[in-house]
Amino acid sequence: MRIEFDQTEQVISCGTILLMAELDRLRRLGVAKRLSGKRPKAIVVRQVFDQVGLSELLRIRPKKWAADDLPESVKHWRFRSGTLTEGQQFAEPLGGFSSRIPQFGRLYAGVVEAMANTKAHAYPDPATNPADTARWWMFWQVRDQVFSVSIIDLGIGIPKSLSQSKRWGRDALEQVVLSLSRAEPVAARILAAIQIGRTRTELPHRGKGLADVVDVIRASPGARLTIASDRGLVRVESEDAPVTRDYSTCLEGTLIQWMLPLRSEAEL
Amino acid sequence: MKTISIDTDFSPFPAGRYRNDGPNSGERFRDDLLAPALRMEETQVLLDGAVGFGSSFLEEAFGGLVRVARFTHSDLASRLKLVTKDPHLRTEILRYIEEARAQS
Repeated sequence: MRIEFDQTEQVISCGTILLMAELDRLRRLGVAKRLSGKRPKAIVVRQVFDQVGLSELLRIRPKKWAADDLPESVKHWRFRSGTLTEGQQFAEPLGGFSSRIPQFGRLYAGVVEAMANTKAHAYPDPATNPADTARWWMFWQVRDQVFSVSIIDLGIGIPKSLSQSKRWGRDALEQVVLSLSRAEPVAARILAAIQIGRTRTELPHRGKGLADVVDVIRASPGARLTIASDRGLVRVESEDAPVTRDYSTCLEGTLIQWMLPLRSEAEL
Repeated sequence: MKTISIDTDFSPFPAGRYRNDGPNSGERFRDDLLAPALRMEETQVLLDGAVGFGSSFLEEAFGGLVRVARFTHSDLASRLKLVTKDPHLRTEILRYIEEARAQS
């Protein structure tokens, strides 16, 4: 199979990370040997493909760009993937730049909890699945003075994970979902998971991670969080009520994206 | 008094609950550093050098002192000193200890 990107003029981080995750999973399963891609003609798109490693996944030989050749919109694209909860994978490459990201400690907490959720909740029972399938993929970039970081898993999704909770019986769960009845049905389950802070893990001291995912947004004016899982989407901006939406197509997994306006030099 | 500086004695990147979650988990911090120190003497933990803390790490490290390492609430009140400029962080840790006590 050959995927042609020669006419692609723009790439969006959420779609790109989903594509990369799916391609990477195919590669790790050993079924991507016949997969290749056609190089984008647009220079900026090609630079993004080379910068984040998408070219290699598509068997396109990447060009080694000099740092001065890369525009700001490309320079800070970074890609990481792993199966462990490793905060250094996110924070270490940012180095001193993290001082320009507001509430960075809280963002770090959200990111590492999203990594942890991948292992604890996202995938079917790890005892019956190879460890390497419980994987997350992460992007971050700076564009127009906004820092964005996206993390995705290709697991069962929050709504299904919530449905499998034994601790929260169907009646209690339906009560929570009903209380959010203005929300779309699938998105309501994502909101419910945030509210009750618990998905497949049944232990009472566990399951607080989704609160960390949301907290940084509540503490950062102008920030935005998007959680897309299964067919549902929840968007949270500062103190506003969450916006929900259900789609007809299913994202096979969970995507979390934080967007935070950078602090100006004067604020440092 | 024993002093544990989380960034230099453990890691600036604490994350995850259990050892098999990652290299800098709450379980490892508790079992390898914090609980042994508390069994010997009064211990202060310098928290501000870390990049940040997820709730999984904090709950397992500090709530786990009661739930797993079997310290009593009064043990910890007299022996554990948390040093941070962030009052929310201190409150969160104390809440995990209290919740572990209530559930034990």
